Amino acid sequence: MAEALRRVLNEGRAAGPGGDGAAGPPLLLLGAPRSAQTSLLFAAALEAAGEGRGPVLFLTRRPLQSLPLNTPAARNPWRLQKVRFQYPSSVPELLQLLASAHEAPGPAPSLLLLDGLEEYLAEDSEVQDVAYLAALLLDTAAHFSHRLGANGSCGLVVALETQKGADGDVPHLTTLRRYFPAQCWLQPDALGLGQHHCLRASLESGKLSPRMEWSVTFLPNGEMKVIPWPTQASKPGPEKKCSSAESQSLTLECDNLSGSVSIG
Amino acid sequence: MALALPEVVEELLSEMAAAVRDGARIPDEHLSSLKFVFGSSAIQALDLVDRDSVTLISSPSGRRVYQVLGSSGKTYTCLASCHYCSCPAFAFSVLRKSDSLLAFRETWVTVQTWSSSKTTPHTTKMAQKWRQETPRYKSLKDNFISV
Repeated sequence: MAEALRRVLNEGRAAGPGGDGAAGPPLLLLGAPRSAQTSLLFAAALEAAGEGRGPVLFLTRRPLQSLPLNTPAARNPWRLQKVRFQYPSSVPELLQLLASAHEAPGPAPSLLLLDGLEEYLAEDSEVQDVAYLAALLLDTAAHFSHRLGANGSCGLVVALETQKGADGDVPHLTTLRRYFPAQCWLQPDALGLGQHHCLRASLESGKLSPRMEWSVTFLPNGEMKVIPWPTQASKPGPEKKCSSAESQSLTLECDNLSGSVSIG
Repeated sequence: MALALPEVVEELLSEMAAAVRDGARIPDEHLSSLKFVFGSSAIQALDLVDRDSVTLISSPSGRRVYQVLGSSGKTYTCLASCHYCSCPAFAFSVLRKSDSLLAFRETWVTVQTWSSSKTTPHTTKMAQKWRQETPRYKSLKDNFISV
C-alpha cells in the first residue's frame, strides 16, 4: 500500500519494509459512505508531504470546500503547499490528466491519491474501461517512481465508496483487485461506544502478508484515535491511555462525518 | 509497482533475454516453456514478433507505451508497467473470463520487454517443434497456424 497511509494507521511508526522510501503495492481504500475515506487520504497526503521526497498529487472530482482534517500537520503551510489538488470533472478529463502526467512540469510526486473513484466509474461501467482507468493510474505512478529514482517510489491509494449491487457484490471489484493487490476496508464498528463513531480498518497487503487491523474512533470533540485492533473480544475503549508512541491523535471536525466540513 | 508475473516466468524471460543479448538462438526448451506457461497466446505473440507488429513509443520523459498492429489493421495499446491491452481479446479472455493469464498481445509485450531483438522466425520454429511432439498439433494448426 502507500506506506504513508500505513504510517497514519500505525501510529507514526514506519511499518515493515516501507522505511526506505518504498511505497508498497497500490492500495484500494474501500468503505461505505461516511467512512472517513477522504480524511484518511488527506492524512496520508500530509504524512507523505512531510517526508520531503516529493509533492503529493491529490485527485478528486469535486473541489474540496475546506480541509478534511484540522491537525497540526494540516495547519502546517509547508506541508499543505506540497499537496497539489486537481479536480478532473469527468472520466475523459481524468484519463487525459493521467496520460499526460509525464508532461507536467515540476518534481515527480511521491504519492498519487484519487478520491471518489465510484463517481468516475458511474460514467463508464464497461469492464475494459474500468481496467483502463486502473491500469493508467498504475502506469502513472510507475512513471513517477521512475522519475523519483533513488528517492524512492511513488505510492498510489485510490478510495472507492462501496455500494453493493442487487447481487450483493461490489461492482467492478474483481477487475479492480486485479490492479490493486492491497485493500483496506473501513467498516463501522458495531462495538463503538455511545456517540463515538468507530471504524474498523482492515488492511490486506497481499496473500503472503498477514492482515493488519486498527480501530479508528472519532470522538465528539473531533479527535480521531487510531489504535491496533484488540485481539481479545473486548471493546476498544476511548478511555484507554495510549502513549504518544502508540497512538496518533488527529483533530477532526466531526461535522465532516455528516457531510459538512469546517475548519477549526 | 507493476503487477508481478510468477517468479518462474520472470526467470524464464530473463534467460531468454540473456540468450538474445549474447546473439544466440533462443533454445527450444525456452520456447516450449513459454507455450506451457502462456498457452496459445505464446505462439500468437511470437507471430507478432516475426511480423514486426509491435512499436515501442517512448517520450523524452522516459514514459513508454507499446502499440501493436493487429491482423485487422487496427492498432492496440499495451501498457509497459502493468497488465493492460486495449484489444477485445484482453477484455474477453482476461478480464471477463479470466481464462488466460495474459492475452496474446500482452504476452508479446512481456516477451519484447525482456528481449532486445529477435533472431529466427519464432513461429515457424515453434510450429515445427510442436508438429513433432505435440499430440494437439492438429488443433493448433486449425486454430492458429496455416501450414
